[in-house]
Amino acid sequence: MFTYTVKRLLIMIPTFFVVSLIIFLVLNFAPGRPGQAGQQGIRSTAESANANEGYRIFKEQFNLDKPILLNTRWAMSEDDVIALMSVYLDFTHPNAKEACEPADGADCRVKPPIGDVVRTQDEIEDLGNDIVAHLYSIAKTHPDERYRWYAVQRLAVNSKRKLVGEFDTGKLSDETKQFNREVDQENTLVFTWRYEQDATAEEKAAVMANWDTWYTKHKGRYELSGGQTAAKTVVDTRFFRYWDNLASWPPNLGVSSLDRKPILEKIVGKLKYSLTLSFGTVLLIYLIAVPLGVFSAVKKDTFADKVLTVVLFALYSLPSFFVGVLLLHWLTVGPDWQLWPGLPTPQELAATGAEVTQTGVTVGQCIILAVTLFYVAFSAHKMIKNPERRGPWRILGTGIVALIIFASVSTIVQVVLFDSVNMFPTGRFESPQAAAEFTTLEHLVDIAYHLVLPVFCLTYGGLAALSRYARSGLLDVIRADYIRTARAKGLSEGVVIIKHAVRNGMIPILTLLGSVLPSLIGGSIVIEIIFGIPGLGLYLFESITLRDYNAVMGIFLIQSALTLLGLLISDLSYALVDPRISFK
Amino acid sequence: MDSQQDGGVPIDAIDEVTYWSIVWGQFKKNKLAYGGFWATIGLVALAIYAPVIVLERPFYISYANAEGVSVTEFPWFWSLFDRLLFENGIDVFFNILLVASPLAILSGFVIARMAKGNPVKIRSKLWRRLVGTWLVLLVVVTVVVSLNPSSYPFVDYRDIYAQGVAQSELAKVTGKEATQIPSAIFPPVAQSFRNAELSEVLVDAGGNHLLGTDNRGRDVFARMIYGTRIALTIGVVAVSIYLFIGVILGALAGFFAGKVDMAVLRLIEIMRCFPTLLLIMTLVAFVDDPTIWHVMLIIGVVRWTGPARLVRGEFLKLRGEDFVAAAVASGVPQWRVIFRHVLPNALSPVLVNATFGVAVCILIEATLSFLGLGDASAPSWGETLNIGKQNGELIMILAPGFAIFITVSLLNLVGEGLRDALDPKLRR
Repeated sequence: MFTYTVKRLLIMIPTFFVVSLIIFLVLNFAPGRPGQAGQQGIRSTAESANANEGYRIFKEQFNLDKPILLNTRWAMSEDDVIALMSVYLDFTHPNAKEACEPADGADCRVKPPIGDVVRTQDEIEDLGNDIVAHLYSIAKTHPDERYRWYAVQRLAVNSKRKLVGEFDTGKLSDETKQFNREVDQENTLVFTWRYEQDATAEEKAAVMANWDTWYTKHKGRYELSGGQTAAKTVVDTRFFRYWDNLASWPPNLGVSSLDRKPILEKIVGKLKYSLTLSFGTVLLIYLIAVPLGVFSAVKKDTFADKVLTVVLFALYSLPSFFVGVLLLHWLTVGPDWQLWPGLPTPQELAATGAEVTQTGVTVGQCIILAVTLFYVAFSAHKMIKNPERRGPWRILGTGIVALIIFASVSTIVQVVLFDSVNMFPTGRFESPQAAAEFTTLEHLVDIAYHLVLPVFCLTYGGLAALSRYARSGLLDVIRADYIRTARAKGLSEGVVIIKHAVRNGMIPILTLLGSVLPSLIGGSIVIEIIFGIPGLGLYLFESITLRDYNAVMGIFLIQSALTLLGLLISDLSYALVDPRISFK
Repeated sequence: MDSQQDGGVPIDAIDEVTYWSIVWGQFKKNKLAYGGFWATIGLVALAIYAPVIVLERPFYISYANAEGVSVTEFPWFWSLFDRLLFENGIDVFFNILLVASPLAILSGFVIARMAKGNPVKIRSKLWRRLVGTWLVLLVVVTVVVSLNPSSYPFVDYRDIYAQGVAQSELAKVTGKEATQIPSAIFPPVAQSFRNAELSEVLVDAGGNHLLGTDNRGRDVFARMIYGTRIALTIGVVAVSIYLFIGVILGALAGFFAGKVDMAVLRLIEIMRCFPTLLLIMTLVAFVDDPTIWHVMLIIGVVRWTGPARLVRGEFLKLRGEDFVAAAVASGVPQWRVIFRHVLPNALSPVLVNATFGVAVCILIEATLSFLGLGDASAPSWGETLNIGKQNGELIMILAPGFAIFITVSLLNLVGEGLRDALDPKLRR
């Protein structure tokens, strides 16, 4: 058992790695990058370089300027860089035309499409420090004056270095702060070493002299040895950097690209909403499904069993988002819900305004009363005829059922009359003022009140499936020999069922609990969206639509880790509960 | 099917009883499932014959055109291939099915006559060939029609008809010489599921619009009817895709066992780590402008693990059987053993899984379009439900909701019936 668990846990690590790789690839190869909106169009180099600086730092901070899996930028030659630069330079060339005629002379060049210009400019920017050596050499030696100028412009941006740990969760150490200060000073300094196209030869020479001294000083950074290149190929990529953060303790899932807060913190903050919702749901499902399953197994093939089967089957096929929307429509807006409604008709409401409080007996009230009385009379009749059905518990049960019938018929009548009634809040997890004003008990009641509808929507579907499992589980054991023995030795039917049959018949559905674990978090996404409960499901939905990569990635990783754990637990719990199964 | 001859029984009689005829007999005994089966066939028919019920073009119209010349046209038939009216490839496919359906039924009768009196083997072969030929034909024609977007001018025949009637009435009143009174036969509901009429936004139910119009002036009833096509296609195509992947992987894993099995199992475990709905949502959200085909493909690629596990299990059971050993020993190529000898015997659990799968895929697509992530151009039920929710229109919540509910529960009914028929041990 122990070795089996350890083995499973060890297998989990590569599985988890591949899972993270797959999500990572899906997210990163998807078209579009976060924060790219508003960054379209050509940037002329000098003046808008400042305006673009925010986006460049954003990309740098989220590693979006890095290659995804393998960094092969060391293989780029100077000619590759020149080819990239030439797109922009051709576009802005004084002789550039849409199409070149022979009469235009040899200096004419075709204007590249504007999309290419934007793309290549982005690419050069993303290449960052990796092409500083090439840019320097172009600035020094290229025969074309414009190329030299453009290379210096790029150099001023591309030679900027990244600050360390700017958005990390922990406090920065003094050394790091000192390092960042130096980097920042250098970044500011190199950014001034530029010249305009019409600059004089002296100005150009001065700028180039600055670059010469700077480059000879920092040559080691940009001209890499073979070993450094090989390491860079793997290390300097988006995926490695993500995993590097992830493998630390506590795991660093990065920061949200929307508000720069740590993802892990945000997810943990959302957990309480999701967990409350799901624990309530799972608890309710098991509490109702097991007795229901036992009931229909014991009463197999009776009328009650058949009705239950049909009802549960229908519930199983009802989409939860449909029921959610319907309940929201019917039970959350309109006149206040009353147990014994005053019930003015809608026409009266329209005629005299909303403040009518009529107390006379109306048709609706008659219906409510009639249905309830009919039920009470029917059960009283059965009790009188059948002595087995008498007793205080029966009477109490009948009373409770009568109350439920009364309340639901009253609700239906009010919904029919007023189109919808205000019975439950329109969503959210708690009242806005809850945290500040309510006592703990009030707070709990408030949360429970808000969660009635969502929990109902989540419960009924699972209920149907699980009670079927419970039923067939019990039917499996009910024919077993030891049940016959138990009956034969004269035990009462209740003891036989509850003590002998249910304990064994419920093994399969208990082990299902393990597979419930992952759904605790993500299973309720649609309901969370409909009811506006700020749990993980809603968070994932928002992150997807706003392209917050780190958040999506983080949620999926946590989710898949939980799934792996859940699978293991459910396998182990089989062995724990049922001694016939063992792992060797 | 292996039919061993017992002493005394004529071989023809044994030949008549096949595995599937037993299953069919069992299935028929379950009245609810049997009813569900025919209701599902009805749904498919509704999807195919949707334009007969709902389309804004008349079957036949005769009117005086601008020059006063009498014209007779049959716009309904030609509009079936009009890509302006039926933008979606799915609609084109169903329209071609609609046109071909009389021929298909006729050829079915002919084959049935021909097959009569022949042994089962020949009969099933004939039927297989018929269905195969029709499928290939349909797909080819659909592709050809889809690639050639015809450019009919857009004519509003309802307008022409109404104007013609008004003119002739006017002529009657004023006593002028009467122009030709237009005559036309429209489908019962002459509304479009797709063309927005901005003058008629959120019209209440009743009158011209049986279920009212949505927030862009599109007829809700028409969208319900055409939504059947989307839902059924999503279900069937997505399930076919994941069956294709799952069955092949599962078969290879189960047949070869050992390392192949190990690899496929790891792959399945990896796929199971992703919460299906969340992964599908994410993938669809990250596609630029997703079409209905993207949605199907994504559902198909994500959900293949179920059938793979089932087929693997069946193969592991069957690979030790004598008939497999016999086939291998007689030199049948390996792929043929896998796909012709073992696979047909391993398919019954997959069939049940697929039936439930169609229902699940329909639900997933409805959820996606309810969340606004699906194909915006397709008349999906989920989208209408979303519009109904946003505008607080009860009828637009109830109609698509019940459409989804009925479709899903019919398919679940059939699935349960099929499961009981295929595996008598499970029946209680």
